[in-house]
Amino acid sequence: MIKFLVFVVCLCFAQNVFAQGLGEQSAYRGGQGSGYAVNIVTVTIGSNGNVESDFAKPQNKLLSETNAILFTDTLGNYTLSAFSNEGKQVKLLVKNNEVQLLGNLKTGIYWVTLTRSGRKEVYKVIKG
Amino acid sequence: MKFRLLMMGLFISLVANCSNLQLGEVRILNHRQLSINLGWSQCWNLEGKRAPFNHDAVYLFLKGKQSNTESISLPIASVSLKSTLVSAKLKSIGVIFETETQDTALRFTAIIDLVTPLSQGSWEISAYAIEMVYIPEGSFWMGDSLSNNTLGGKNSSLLLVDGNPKPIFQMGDTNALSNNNTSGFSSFYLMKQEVSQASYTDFLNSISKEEAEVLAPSILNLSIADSRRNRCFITKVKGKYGTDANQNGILNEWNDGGSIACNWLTNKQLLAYLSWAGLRPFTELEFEKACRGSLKPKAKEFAWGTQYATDGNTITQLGTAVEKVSEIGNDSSGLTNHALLAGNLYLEGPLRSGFALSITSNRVTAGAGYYGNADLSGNLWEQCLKVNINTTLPLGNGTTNYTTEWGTGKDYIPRGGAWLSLVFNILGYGFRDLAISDRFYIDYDLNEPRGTIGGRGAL
Repeated sequence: MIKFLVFVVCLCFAQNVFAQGLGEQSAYRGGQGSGYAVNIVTVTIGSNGNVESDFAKPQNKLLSETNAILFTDTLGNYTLSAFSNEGKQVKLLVKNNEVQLLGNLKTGIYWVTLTRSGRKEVYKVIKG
Repeated sequence: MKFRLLMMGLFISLVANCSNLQLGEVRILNHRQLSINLGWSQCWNLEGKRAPFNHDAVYLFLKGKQSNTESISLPIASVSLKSTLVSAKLKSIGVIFETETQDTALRFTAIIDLVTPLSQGSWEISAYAIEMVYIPEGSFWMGDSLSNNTLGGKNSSLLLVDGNPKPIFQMGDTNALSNNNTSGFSSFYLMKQEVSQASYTDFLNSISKEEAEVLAPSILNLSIADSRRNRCFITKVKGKYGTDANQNGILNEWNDGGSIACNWLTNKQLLAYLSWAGLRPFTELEFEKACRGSLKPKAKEFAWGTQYATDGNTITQLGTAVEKVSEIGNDSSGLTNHALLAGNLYLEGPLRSGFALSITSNRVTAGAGYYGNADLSGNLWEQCLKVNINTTLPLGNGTTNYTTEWGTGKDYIPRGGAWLSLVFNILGYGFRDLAISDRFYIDYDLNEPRGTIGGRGAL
């Protein structure tokens, strides 16, 4: 099994080397997006020039009974992360347009960050 | 089991190679400094090595907005990087990041110092990133001696633009080409893809409401489902501009068409966008160089260097960031979006900017220009400053008020054809809008909005 995993890693490496060997082709390759990305954050600057708050524009969402938040659309290509208000990472389970926060959740505020199509969406999730 | 693992390994390896400009976390460190995570895949640097002897780059600029005001540019004083694989240089109102290596998935953090510290209070900071292609200094051939109104004149010998002044044998024009930044001889950066609908709506949301109303596409009053929009999905909901291809009233979802090239752009709208972004328009000489590179012209050839085209006509993954077509090009016939004969089915609008680029494409199958710019032939017409307009084309100042040196719509010519351009793979046929050197619409007024016209900028 270990030999086989080494083989797969070598195969991936060789594929990259092969791609780089055909370097000129990189100029004509792509796959996602339109060569454009944006990210917007809101920040409050204090009188001493320090940051008082820093967050991507959050939207509020309520947790369901199963500790899930629902999106009106399926997520497509995305990256997701979730943290408690104290900064502790929370595990997630994604099913279609539903993101479930896993573990023994206390009542309070959680933050879910969803990045897709070059855009970051931040959700302030409240467990009542 | 082993077979599954093998397939998984190959899949991971291939996915890792998907091109995807990503602007990760933007963190304001204090009133004069911020950190930005940025990355893109399929980066290349072949300068001094082999064709096309260039590299790609990403141009990043910042805007700041306080409540109830329009955004202002946040000029950058300096940039430090936590990576040796990338370099940064200040350019226009932003910064250009360039790859130092042939890397397949570049990810790095940049610490950016602002020229003017943010004042006390609440700020909305926007970071915008645009993929660019570096086009190196060097001579190139203009015209192909056969296309309609070709530069250099029909049936004349080909002209080499080599930095020395030369007359243009066209329209009785006696202006000389000079070695300024508009002749195409000097190096420049050109947007890899056409301006997308997402980038244009972000621009509209950044400027004042009054300006946005003037600069919004003219088809905004038509319902999203109206076919006369020609796949322009820009709309306005609760005072915000965005795209809504899936017509559910929620803007900017993953399948709302934000990555589709932005059509209906008048010359004034395009120039306002370019000025706001700190870019500049490009000239028709620069267009021909981006298409053909240093190679000798072939009669009526397209941007990918052959005389044949394959029409992309069957959309898959509609409106998403991976929208593409099921047709594929081959070694002699480049994939593009153009029109077919009347009575035959064809797309009635543009596709995603860069739809033909894939993880295995080459110049022809990607329908790309010599240096790697996508969709120079087909999809949407480019707006290029005419050759007889003698100017140095200064860069945009970060506002919508662009310099008079950029001229007006009548100073520009549409180049490269669009989704409505009929293409026969027969060289004798008179119309060939997609050809590099075709200048049929030499007297077209680009102040008129059309569903076939978009554009891109240079730096």
